[in-house]
Amino acid sequence: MTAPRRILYLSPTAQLGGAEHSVLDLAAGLDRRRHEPRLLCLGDGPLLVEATRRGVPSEAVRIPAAFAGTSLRGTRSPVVSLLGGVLRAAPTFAAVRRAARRAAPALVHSNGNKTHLLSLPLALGGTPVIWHVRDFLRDQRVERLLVRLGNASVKALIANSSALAEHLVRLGARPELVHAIPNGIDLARFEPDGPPADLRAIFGWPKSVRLVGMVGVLARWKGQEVFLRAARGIVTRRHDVRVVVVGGEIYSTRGHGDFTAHLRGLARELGLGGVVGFTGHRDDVPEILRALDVVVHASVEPEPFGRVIAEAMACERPIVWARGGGADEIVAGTGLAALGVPGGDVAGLAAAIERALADPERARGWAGEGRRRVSERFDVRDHVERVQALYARITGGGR
Amino acid sequence: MRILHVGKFYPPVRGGMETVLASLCEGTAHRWRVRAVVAHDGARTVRERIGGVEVIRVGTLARALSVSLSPGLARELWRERFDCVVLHEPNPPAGTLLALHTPAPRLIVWHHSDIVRPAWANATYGRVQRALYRRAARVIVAAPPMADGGSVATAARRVEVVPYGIALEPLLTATSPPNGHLTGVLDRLSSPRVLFVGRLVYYKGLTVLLEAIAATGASLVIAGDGPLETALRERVEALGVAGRVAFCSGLSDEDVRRLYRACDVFVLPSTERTEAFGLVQVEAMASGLPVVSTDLPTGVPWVNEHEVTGLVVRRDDAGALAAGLQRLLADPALRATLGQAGRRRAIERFAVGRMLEDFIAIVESVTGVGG
Repeated sequence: MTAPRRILYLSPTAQLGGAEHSVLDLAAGLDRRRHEPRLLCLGDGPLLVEATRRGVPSEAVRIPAAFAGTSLRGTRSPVVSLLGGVLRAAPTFAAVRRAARRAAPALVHSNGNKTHLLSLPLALGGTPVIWHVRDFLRDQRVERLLVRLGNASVKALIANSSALAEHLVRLGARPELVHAIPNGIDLARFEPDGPPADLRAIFGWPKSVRLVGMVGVLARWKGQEVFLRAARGIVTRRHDVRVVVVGGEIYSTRGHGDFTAHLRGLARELGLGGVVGFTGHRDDVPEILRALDVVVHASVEPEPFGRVIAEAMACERPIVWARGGGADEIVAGTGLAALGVPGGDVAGLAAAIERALADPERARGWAGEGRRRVSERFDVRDHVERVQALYARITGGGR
Repeated sequence: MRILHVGKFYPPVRGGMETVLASLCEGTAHRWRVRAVVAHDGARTVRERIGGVEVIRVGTLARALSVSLSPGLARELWRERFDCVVLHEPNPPAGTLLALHTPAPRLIVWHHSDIVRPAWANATYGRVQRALYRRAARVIVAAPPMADGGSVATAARRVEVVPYGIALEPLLTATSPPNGHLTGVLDRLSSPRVLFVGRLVYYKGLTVLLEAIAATGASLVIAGDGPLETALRERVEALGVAGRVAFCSGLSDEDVRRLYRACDVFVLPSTERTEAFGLVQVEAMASGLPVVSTDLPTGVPWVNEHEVTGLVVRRDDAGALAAGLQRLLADPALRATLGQAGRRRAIERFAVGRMLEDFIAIVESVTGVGG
């Protein structure tokens, strides 16, 4: 029996979003006889608390504000700002290297674009590095640059959907490096029969109203605006519907700051003051999903994975979802396919939501197929197993 | 369906009644075509679209006895027909015009508060008001005590109680801790801290509160501004409690929420019937604070239930107020129990959605338009 190999996870944020929940599910689910996790995140935040709660030793690396404000998503002059970011980030590179040296990992698993860059010196220093790619980047030049760097230095690129894996290969990633391993859902936590969150009480809505809601980070590309515009039509036609927007802004990147205020203003402008509730960030996602009669996913850009779709399916909720990227793979083969709409299509989204509301019986049937699909294809235990198999192959050990 | 609300002011003008009016208008804008006619501080009449509502601020020439003299008001009220007019009282100019002619088959009066000053108002506008209330299809009050006894609402044919509701959600969840100048203010005051939130005007009973604070030894945060500020500051000096009392003005809503989090007891020491409901009590309750308020013959002691969500003490009685505050300041367990009950009561009775449901049901039953 050999000693467990240490895996060092690098997280570009200490906030808690879908990517962070995924990496925690993975780190906490490792077979401790084979692998022991350590987590290093940039900055301080709730991820550290959650990691500790789940038994994953974690540590924060201080980052200069300038680097925290750099986003690779939708940067205007990417190459320049990237280089600038790298220069400003020099102290961060050093800090990550020091922390990595202390941890002496058998393998480094990076969870986001910023940490992909920060892991390069570790890879050059001989530590095996895996990049877990969870995002489509908006600018192809940045993507190509990243992929080229990855080709030269990392042992594997994990893509969280086949759509993303194909995209990486198209961009020039060496196919043998790319592994499509979809995210996993904790089916014990996301199950249909637990208690629902009492959203109606908070907003003073009668028990009889039907709740339609979006759950997730508030960001332009997630399509909350499209959802609110679609809701405008629905609530004038159906007086028994109330609309919930669950989530906060998590990225501290510039330009993400005032989106919540913008959404509230839009809801008000649309005359939705009496029927829309904003809850802010909530940790009790399974409870929230169970409280919703229809869950809505409305991303206006292809979703790399589309976690909330799988979570809603695991809770047997009818979900209206935006087509593209990983979303198609999650829903494939279930009746929920009928509730797919093109991203950004306000009228289509409204119509699909109303279809789900009009025939709850049928929608529930589709939702039941959803849980079956998730348990067959997106069980977190399978996800952890596949990643561990990859670790074993890379570190050259037996299983 | 077309609904006309006639009110005093509309946000961004601040105030409890303004917030309620905006919630009622914007909260039903997805359902009806809603117009609000209110007074404008300036001389020009301004038309705006806010939250799906057509807001007309009628230019004002002068203000006297908290009444706006707006020559254009009659034209704005009378020039179009509606299915239902909702008059928010007291509002003597608009009430008089609507008594002469109501541009809708149905009139609903929301009676927010009695007129206390001047004393002769009851003999003059009071007559118009009573006639109007008799004619209204419904008179709405925000709390059961408002429909009893001396209130003009007793002139109504049919009274309905619709408690005010506010957006509770931001108050229920933790906000970021105080920062900037608030930290400085709070650091200087020792815990436990008493909090007052409201305009610094005569009926709030602030001089009584300062005497009570002098008698207890507690620290006090006064959040708000108003005409009495200078006089109150002088009083604080004279009582020798300047080290324990802090004034904060010009606070944002977020800052006020932070204060609720940072203090231990909420106080509403009002002494006059003008304090009809005390919406700030609901904010405090939703934030989990126990409330000490006074036994006014209005909604105030109904919102804050004695020995359930806080304590109700005799009004205009510094000794009684001091004793009530002292009891809570000395007993953290009691504070926690009352605070929890307050939070529950806020969710059950004072959520904005519930107010809208009740209001919509009344309007639709009066107009015969089903939902």
